[in-house]
Amino acid sequence: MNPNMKILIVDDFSTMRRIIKNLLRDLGFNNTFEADDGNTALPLLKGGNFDFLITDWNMPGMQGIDLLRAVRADPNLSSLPVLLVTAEARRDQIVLAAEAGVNGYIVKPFTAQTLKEKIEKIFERIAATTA
Amino acid sequence: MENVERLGLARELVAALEQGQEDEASQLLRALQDVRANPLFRHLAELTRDVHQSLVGLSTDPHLVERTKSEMPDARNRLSYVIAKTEDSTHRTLAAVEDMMPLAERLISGAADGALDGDVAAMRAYIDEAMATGEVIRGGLTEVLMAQEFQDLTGQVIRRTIEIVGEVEKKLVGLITAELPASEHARPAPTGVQGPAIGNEPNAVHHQDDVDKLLAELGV
Repeated sequence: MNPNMKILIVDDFSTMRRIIKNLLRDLGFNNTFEADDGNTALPLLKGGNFDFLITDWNMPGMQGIDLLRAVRADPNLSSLPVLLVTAEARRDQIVLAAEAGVNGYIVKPFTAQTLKEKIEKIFERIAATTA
Repeated sequence: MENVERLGLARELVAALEQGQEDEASQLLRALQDVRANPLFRHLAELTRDVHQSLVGLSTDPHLVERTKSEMPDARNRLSYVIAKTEDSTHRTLAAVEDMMPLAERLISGAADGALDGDVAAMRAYIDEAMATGEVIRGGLTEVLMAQEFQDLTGQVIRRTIEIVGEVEKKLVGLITAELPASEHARPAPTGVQGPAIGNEPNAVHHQDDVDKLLAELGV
């Protein structure tokens, strides 16, 4: 994993963005940016050479699942790794996210350890498939 | 009973028609229709009365009127208060953590790799700095402690809001169950975003392990 990779954190609650940003810094990732819903995130992603997207699901404006679909539908973004960090915990929602092409799914409340494991797993898989 | 009555009336009707008694026949025909329609009308009248009474009850229940007019907006204000309070607390806590983290780092790195070995002056300086840093960290931890006071306040506010919502729900459920057959007020399956799983929703996962298992089944 590249510690300088560019990460976009999308959540409508500034507190959650701050928590994730701090956890990422603890894990050695300092190159983080923030957006408060899909509508503000998508233009950033399109213009920003991001390496990783961490997004909430339930947000006013464009929701996380729609942001994920928009990312997968954009030829320049389609391979961007996406981790959903959300309070949405219904099985059919997790299935929906998997079908939409999510790389990882964390239910809130979560721990620092869970975030670390999921990020590691996502990039291990990507390394394995591109190797 | 209803059938026997109808059969009797029908026989009389046939007899009247055969004898050419037109007035008698049309009277019997009306009676025959009434027999069939009566239970329906009766049921409808009962339903109408029930609906009317429920609606009157809803609008004259001073408790409910009061709750709808003043306490529902109040409930919304209360919940906004919870958001503001919890957000404030989280920021206070995070600010304290962000301040203390580098101090802890400096304490660790200051004595790492034998940096102070044999250097009494450096050790003294380190101890002085450690004492001062300890004070700052203690202050920061107190701030974290104090930032948790929101829980008591928001807990009370949420409890109050649950009461209000519960009361309104009870009234509305009473109205619905009085007027609809049981099958029509079965709870629909939830769709769309739901927020945190707060109870034992059977269709929800309750632990990250459940999510991981489900994703593994789906090949993610």
